[in-house]
Amino acid sequence: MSDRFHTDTNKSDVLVIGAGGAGARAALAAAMAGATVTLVSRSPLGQGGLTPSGNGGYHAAMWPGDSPEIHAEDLISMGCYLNDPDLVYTMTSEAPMRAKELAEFGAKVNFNIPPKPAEPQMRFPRSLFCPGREILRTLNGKLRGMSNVTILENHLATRLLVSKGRVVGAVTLGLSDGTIRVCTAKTVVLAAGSLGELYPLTSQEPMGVPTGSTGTGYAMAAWAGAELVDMEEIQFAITPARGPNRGMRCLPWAKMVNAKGEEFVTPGEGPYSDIVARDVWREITEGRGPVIMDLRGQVRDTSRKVDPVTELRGKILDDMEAMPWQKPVEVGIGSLYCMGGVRIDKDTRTSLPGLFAAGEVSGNVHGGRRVSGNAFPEMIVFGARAGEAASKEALAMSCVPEAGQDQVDSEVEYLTTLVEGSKTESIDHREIRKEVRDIMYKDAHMFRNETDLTAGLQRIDEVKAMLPKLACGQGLIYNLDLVGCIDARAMVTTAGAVLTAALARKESRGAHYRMDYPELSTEVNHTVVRSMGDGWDVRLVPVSPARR
Amino acid sequence: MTYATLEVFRQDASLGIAPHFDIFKVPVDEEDKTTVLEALEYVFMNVDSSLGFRRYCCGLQSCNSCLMEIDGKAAPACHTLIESGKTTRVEPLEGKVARDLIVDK
Repeated sequence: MSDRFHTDTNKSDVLVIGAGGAGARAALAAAMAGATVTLVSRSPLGQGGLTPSGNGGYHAAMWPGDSPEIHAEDLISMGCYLNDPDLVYTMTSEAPMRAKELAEFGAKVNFNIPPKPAEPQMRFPRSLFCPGREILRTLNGKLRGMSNVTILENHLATRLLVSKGRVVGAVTLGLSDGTIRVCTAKTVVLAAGSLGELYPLTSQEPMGVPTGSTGTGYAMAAWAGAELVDMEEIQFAITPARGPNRGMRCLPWAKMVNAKGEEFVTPGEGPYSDIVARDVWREITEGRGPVIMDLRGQVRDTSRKVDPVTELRGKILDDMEAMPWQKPVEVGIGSLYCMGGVRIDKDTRTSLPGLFAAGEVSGNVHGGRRVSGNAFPEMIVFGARAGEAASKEALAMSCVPEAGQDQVDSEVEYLTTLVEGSKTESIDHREIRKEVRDIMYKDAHMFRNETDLTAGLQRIDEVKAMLPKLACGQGLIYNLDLVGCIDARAMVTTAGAVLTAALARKESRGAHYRMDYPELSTEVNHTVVRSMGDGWDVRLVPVSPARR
Repeated sequence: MTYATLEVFRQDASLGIAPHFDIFKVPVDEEDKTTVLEALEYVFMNVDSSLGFRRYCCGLQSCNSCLMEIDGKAAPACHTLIESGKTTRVEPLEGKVARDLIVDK
């Protein structure tokens, strides 16, 4: 054990890792059920992750004539039949009730649904609105007032603890004081989603600054032995490639030209935005870039009412003169959302006893396409269900399980080596990050094939072999260098999961496009990958048939 | 490519680093503009990864994570532009400095 890091312990009924919307909602549900809860947040509450930048579109079947069944059918057909029907029906059935609940908690939810469906393939209008920051303000306000909730802000969970096949907690690193905490709990909810930063351009780096979506949640689940499902299904979107609006989404059907000045997307009513994104990707990768969005001289339609967050984002970009009406904007393709993730059932149980997962880190809800307005109901519905199921199981247990000392020791030793290790032959986490992003850009972006994916996996193995040489600068207080090392280790694992799953899906479905298998397969299978340490166990598992 | 200068406050009591300023030369994208937060990210990624700052942006100027004193005034780093050829002084908000630009509440 190191005498440099302080060590401490924390015990609770339910440990929640990740404090975005899903984690906060899970913590609240568990606390309201009477459980003691520890909530781990890598940033100060409300100042991290992806929820604060969420527009707030929250789809729920509340329009006359609409129903949870119709909502679910729409999502399953748009998701290319890869969604687990059970999860989708659970989400669409509870979405209206959970939105009302949020309003009862004090969130300003706009229930006046705009009459036009958000996408032409949706049969009814469904967009309630509640911005992500408003959801967090509400949930965090309640959590801060509860005596049975401990909030560990500025704490980074680094590894799940497993004892006798059960997840019994996690090791966390306190960034403000350099304390390694062994957090044990009767049940653990993982809500540390997204992996946008595996790609060099992502819609998850507003203004070019990361949000911490380095894939740590998936990696921690994998190291513990949990099954990951459909990790190849990653949504990409047209994203400004330079300047202060880099990493922000913009309208996919705005006029775009390639280097020759040719328009290559039919303007007007676009198809799915991810299909238009493929056109852009083709222009760039086939050497006809850069792709420029140029709306100068065009009349800007200000009559179209947008949600307050989109309006605010527009105003910010206007102020910076970064909108395509003001100047030509170079665009690229950024990662936006990971549909795959930790495999769950409708009570958010994973394949590992003691471990629950909710929000973006979980998989098999959105199938091959995350439809706009449906990340928030997933986050809130399954966040709440995770807190309820995890607390119910925890409250039925008599005592908090012990963590194995060897696992704790090995993680403390790992962290200690990072700050104290040899600096002569060391590797910098920024090199690892750059390398992973390069691999994912070249070998696992929008268009994939067996040769590239195999080469990518091999390169990931080479990067993995360099990990023991990771080392960082001195200091235990807010050592971002150390955080970078911890993230780098996770990025390598999560990238490996994506590449492995992408290699296993020998068809083109949803966001996953294989140049060597461009057609849909007749059988609909999930890819399920599980880390075996040295490699991955890969299975294809039939998607359960529709419920009705 | 043109450049701007950042004067960044540095301190880490736990490592015995007394308060001082470090000078960094950072590139400015004249056409697309560059914010103070982007410039700090540039320093972290390319020059000095021991720099402590709140490395996060919500993109909506709403979370206050990147509030710091910029040229003597509290301002969000994500919304303040640096200018080529000029020097911008960056300091933490008032309070107990944990590391460099990070103040613990």
